[in-house]
Amino acid sequence: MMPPDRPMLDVVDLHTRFRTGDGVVRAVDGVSFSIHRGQTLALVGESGCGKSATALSIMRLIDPPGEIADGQIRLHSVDDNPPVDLRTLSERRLREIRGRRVGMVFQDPMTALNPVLPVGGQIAESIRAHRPVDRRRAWHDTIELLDDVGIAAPDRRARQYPHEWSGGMIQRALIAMAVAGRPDLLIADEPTTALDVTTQAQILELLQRLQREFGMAILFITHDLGIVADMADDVCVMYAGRIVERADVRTLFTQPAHPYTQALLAALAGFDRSPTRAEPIPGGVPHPLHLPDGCRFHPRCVLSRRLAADGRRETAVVPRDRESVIVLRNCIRPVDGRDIGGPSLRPVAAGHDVACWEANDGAAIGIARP
Amino acid sequence: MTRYVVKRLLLAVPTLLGITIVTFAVVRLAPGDPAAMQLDGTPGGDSARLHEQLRAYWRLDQPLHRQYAGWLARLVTFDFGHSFVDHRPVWDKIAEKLPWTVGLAVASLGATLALAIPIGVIMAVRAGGWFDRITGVGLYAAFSVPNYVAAGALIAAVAVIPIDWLPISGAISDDYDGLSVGGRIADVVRHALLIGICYSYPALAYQARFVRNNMLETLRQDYVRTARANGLSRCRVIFRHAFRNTWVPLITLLGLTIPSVVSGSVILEVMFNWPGIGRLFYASIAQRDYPTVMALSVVSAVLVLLSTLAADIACARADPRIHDAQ
Ligand code: SF4
Repeated sequence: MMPPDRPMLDVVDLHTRFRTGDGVVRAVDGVSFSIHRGQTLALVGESGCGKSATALSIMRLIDPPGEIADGQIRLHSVDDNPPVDLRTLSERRLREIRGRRVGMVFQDPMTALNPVLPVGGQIAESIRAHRPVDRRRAWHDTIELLDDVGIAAPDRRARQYPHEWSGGMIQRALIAMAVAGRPDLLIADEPTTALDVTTQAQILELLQRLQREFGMAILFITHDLGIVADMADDVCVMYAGRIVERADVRTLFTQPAHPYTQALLAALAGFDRSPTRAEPIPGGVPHPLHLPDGCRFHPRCVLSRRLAADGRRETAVVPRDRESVIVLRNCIRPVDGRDIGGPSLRPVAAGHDVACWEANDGAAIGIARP
Repeated sequence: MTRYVVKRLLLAVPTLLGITIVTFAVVRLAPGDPAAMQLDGTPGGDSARLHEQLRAYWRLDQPLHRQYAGWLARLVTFDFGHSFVDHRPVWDKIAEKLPWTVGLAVASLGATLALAIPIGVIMAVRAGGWFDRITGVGLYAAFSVPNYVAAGALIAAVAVIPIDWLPISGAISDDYDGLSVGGRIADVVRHALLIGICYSYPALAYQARFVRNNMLETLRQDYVRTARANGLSRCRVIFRHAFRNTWVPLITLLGLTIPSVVSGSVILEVMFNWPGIGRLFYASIAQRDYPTVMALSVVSAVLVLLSTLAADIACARADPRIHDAQ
């Protein structure tokens, strides 16, 4: 077994883009992170920030007009074999990785299974895709797997069709399917978003139990920081195709350094106090074809506006989309009027990286935190 | 499943009754003495014997509902009366033509599907590629040429440049009875080739595009992504997951197009002199052979009804959700 500090997966400078009629959408724009063996990395952000595109890129499930334009997706092996780069792997070799070394669970269980085939048959099919076992053996293993993920009467249930199952049950079946090949890494893309709260908790518990049993790493994708606190060891916060903050879960919750993370946490705290959460952060996610210059977060950034109001930075009123917003000029053009395309990740403390020109760490700036 | 089939069969009974009532009404309720009117202009129509025969067949001295009931009772036993033209039992005439039409339709359907499915699937999997584009244009062009036009062109072409092994008329050669079993099959296939092509190509064009468009839809579905994420082979993903989910619309389409196949057979059978019920229908109308026309109407309607029924049952088998919703 490899030492726990050795990574299971390294994503290095990943760029994934989609060609549309109106232009190129850079859904993932230079994302890097590592997941360590047996650990959970949460990828957090509002919808449309590129989380799912990142996950699909790792599985190489990006279809035209989308493409992975650049970067490396290095999957390490448990033994001492050199890592493979999933980005350049052939379809044939990818099939040996998918479902076997990397499993994936998707967001909407109600549409994730083939409606015209029995649930058990689909799991058995996945088993047989990776192990040379006969039908009976695969069926036997299917029943066992379903039993293990908490499906009552798995023998009878396995013969039923997806429409006869509840969303929570299907998600369990999909998890069973994804872990059938005992993967080293499980990618869970918003696995509980479509489920009710009780079921949500059960699914999360199931994932944690399987992780303990199999020692697999999990890439957990969510927009819900509340879940992150329960599930993750490390967290990457994404905004508009980029990672804006990267830290272990404790640091992120106690010393968030990026104004966006701080706003997300403030919204979470607000959610606890009042049941109505109209808008977590003022403003919306920028249009993927019209990303703001400089720091992509600047139209919504409280820190930027405050520094401007304090007169600590040069300011300008820049018209955007019909309405004018006051922005911190330096967050658009930091040096000699040349747009350098926004701040890049830099460490503010050991193991704590932030992509903000103004952040030192949360405490130093003194932004109101939850 | 058995319950579903029984239910559908029971539901077909009123439809069937409706068909017979309409057929009965159209012919029987026409003004005037139906016997005299129908015989008017028929070869030998002035014969008293024919007139009597018709009056007896319709039981014209009885009240209308009794007439209908009697006719229906005879239909059930395949007693459609006798032809005005050659005085043979109508059912015998139909029974000897029916296999030629049904056989051609089934063979054409099989050949069409065997081509349309792979073409449509490849087009969808390589959507936007050269195969998709070229085939797409070709299919569109084929679909826009009516098959009787193509039939006319083919017949004219073969008439100008005869090809000895490619007959353009009839279903069997004169020496058919003297041929071996293999020779007979080859003989029928040769005769069926041109009419079969004309019969099939519009359906082929339509079905291939239909398969393509449905595949484009199912290939985008979440369950296809799940299958891929679980490392299933390309072949399995395409056929067992994506294509399998196009069965229901495809079967529905086939069920809907069967009536037009039956009606479309008339013109092609006449053009190619194919001894099926389409040509019989045409000839019977020309000769005012009313018993045969009526019988063929009922038989065609029943054929259509049976095929749509088969399509519905196949759909329920193909998709458990349809079956459960009933
Ligand atoms: S760089 Fe400027 S706009 Fe961007 S997050 Fe930091 S303060 Fe806000």
